Amino acid sequence: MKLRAKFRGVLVFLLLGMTVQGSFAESSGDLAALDQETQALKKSVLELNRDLFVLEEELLYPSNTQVAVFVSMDVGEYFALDSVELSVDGKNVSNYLYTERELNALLRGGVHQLYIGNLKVGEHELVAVFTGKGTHERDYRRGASLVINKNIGSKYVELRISDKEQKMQPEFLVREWE
Amino acid sequence: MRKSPAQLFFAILIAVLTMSPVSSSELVDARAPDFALHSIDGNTQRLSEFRSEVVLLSFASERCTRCRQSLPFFEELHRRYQAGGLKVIAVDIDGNPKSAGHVVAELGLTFPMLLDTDQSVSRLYDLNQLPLTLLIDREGTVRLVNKGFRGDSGAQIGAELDRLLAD
Amino acid sequence: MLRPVANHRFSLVALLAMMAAAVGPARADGVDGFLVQDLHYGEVLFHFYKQDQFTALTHLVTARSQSRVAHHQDDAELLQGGLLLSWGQHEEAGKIFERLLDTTEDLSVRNRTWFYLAKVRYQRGHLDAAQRAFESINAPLPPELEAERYNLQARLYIDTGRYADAVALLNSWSGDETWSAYANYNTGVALVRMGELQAGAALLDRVGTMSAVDEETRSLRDQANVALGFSFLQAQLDGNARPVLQRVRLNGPFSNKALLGVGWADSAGEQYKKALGAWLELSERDLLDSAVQESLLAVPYAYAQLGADPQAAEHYARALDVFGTQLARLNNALADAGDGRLLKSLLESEPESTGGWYWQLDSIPDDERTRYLYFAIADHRFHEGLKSYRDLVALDAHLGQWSEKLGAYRDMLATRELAYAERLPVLEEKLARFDLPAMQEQQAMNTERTTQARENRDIVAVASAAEQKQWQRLSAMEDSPAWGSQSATALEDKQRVLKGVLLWNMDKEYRVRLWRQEKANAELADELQRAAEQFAAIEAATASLPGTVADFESRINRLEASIEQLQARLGVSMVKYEQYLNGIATEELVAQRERVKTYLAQARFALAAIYDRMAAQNR
Repeated sequence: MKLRAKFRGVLVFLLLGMTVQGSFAESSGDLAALDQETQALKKSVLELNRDLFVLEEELLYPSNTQVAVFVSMDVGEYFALDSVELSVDGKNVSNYLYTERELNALLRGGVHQLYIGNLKVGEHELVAVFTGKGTHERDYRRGASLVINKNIGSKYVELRISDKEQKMQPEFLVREWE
Repeated sequence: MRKSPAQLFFAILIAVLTMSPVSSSELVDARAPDFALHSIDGNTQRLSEFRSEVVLLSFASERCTRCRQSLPFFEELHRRYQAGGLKVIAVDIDGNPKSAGHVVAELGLTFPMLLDTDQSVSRLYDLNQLPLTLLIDREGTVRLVNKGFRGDSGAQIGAELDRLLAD
Repeated sequence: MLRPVANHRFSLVALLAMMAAAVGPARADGVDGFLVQDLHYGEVLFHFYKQDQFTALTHLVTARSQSRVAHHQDDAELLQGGLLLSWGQHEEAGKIFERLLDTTEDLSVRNRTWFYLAKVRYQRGHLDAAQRAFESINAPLPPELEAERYNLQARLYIDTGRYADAVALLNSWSGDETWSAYANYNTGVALVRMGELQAGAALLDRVGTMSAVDEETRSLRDQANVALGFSFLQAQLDGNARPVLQRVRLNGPFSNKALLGVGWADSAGEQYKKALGAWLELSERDLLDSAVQESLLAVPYAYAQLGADPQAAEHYARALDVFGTQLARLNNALADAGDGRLLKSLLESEPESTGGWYWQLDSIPDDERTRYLYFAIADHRFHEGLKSYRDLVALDAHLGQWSEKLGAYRDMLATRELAYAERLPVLEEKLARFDLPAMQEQQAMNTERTTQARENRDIVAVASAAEQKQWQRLSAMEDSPAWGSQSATALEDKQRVLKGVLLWNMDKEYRVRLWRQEKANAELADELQRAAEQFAAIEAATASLPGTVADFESRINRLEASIEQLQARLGVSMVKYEQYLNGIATEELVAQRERVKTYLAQARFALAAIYDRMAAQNR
């Protein structure tokens, strides 16, 4: 029974090593100090990040020329959006393929920024086409075109894929924000 | 003169940072350009969704012998290391779902095969030799570029993969 | 500070659940019943829902600073708090939650906030305060949050020694098993350690028999069965141990321990042949695993019990050989500890033990060493440290990318300045040629003339050029000295008629022409006005552009300096983490070495005893 005695030691070792979450008393002071530092660092990075984003936007897309186009979904029946194409003044500016994860995000109410660019004051034509699979695996392709009047000040356009107007038939509803 | 004055100076001169193609020799230590493509099963996969995993990305064509030789090797890596955080992705530059499907079935590949139908991604990665294989770390930076899969490429890729998975 | 490995999935799902039940106007829209009123808030949610938490957080912070989420104050606040918390920023998160409690009256927001505060306080070790926060929740939370609340409360009870309360709580759980699994596991283990085998075993058994949907839960189930099996072994209930250990997967991370335990269960019942079955299998596996090392001694022990001394001796000898090599390797690895790269060198030294790397197309060595190190070092401090370390590495890469972008923006600004410098002289020349004041003067005169024409009913003034010429000529005739004489009568008559007709025509057209002239004057005035405004604006912009460029440049300079500073701080922190992790890995290696030394001693002793026995038999 020598082995039995040995077992006990190993057993304790193994059991100790097995707790997924040890008790608080065991945590080391080293880690706590490191953790404080990490938190401070992360805070600084987050603030710096914010300043960087703000600079980037002002530099690349100043508000007097900025135009941003967003995609959102509001469907009662499940619609598997595959892609959205966008053209501005006849030029294709985006051809976005949606992954499953992104589709789920949209279905939950997330809004995707499809395009951001600069346009002169005045009228511009936007043409958007979405493709996807509706119920019963039906392939869909719908478009919308609109003319926006760009003034001074950022212009946001929301392309909402919705089947509220026509039951089971998703289409683009367009809304402008300023 | 109908333009607003600010535009004269700003609109003309704004450089929009689009993704311009990078020379493949410049890719090492650079961010892997993001893209999304349909796979042969019809799903869309986006490269950036695999952040926090190590990605092995290989561009191949059915007509290239070395590509066919490299794919089973990648399949092995996929089976062994998937649990450890490796994602293997192949891109078929011919973009033909039928023939790509044949290759997948023939070689018994279980990782995603994407179709670069208009060769836009191939251009993005400045493809000039096949197969082109890249190892991308968990932060999205390219760590290894292998062209042609010759000689001890397998060993090279394996060793670098080791290091990346250990991080 | 305690942040258990197992918490990750709860955080994310709980956050998602929180969003589902979020505050908002009664209008339901979208799957979660939440109406987005600010596009940029929706954009944050997009990243959040696709599990890109860092992007969601940075976009949220930015959008709030740009006042773009005005319609979602409380929700944005709560979301930011939740995101910060799951990023490890419990201090910042705590502040947000405290602030929310001060400002919001909405009960559902308050209850959720109390929950998050409890989490924060727990993570910071303020157990009593955490308990108080829990007790402030006065209504059921959304389902997934409720599950997490149970888990946290159970853990809190364990940590404060209130085991009976923990068990009672767990027994009252009626939701999905997997949610309460971790709590059951930990309470079970705690109870066993305290000597309450029956109570602990009941909980472990619950986890050990639950249905598992993914790797994480399968792993936990295995772990519970191993813990339960060993608990029975320790209590000398070998009969109970075996069936439990056999539930463990043959090729999961806990299979080695299970095999060891099964062997022990058999050997305790003196079924040494059976025990050999499990132990021989085990001894062929990865020698870095402590269970496998144990088996190297257990196998010869079993042979000895079966009276097979030669086999026993052979295996003890093999054990000595293997442990000897192990010891040498461990000594080498520990010698590397000085340069602080122990972790890396540990991994790189492995090839020797598995016979080198063979990267041929047809054979790749089976290797799970990265996962092994992860599991071998079961210390949760290691996992904690590693997670934070990885966060810092990611941040460093992130800042590096910003640095590159800023470089590009600098170039862009330089290009702008250059282009501006080139265009300006051209522009100024154009402006110079366009003599606005002169034109305005001219225009003013025109207007004056037309006004006069109107006031004086001067039909000649608005007549056509041809008509005016004709009128002049006809009128001039009247100035001739011969006018009024006899000889000119016929001519005079003619002139009178022509003049009359002309007058008649001009008069007829007068109104229309006057109107047209006035309109033209007005339009021209407008255009000139516009042009004047544009010139003024151009002049203003011309003056301000150098300032704008300079402004951007100085901002870029400041931000670049900040990036450098932060990267330096990150570097220092990362080194400290590496040292810390190396320290833990070293501890582990030292422990391993001690174990190996013990095994060597035991093997030598046992082998000597066998030789003695064999020698005695031969006499």
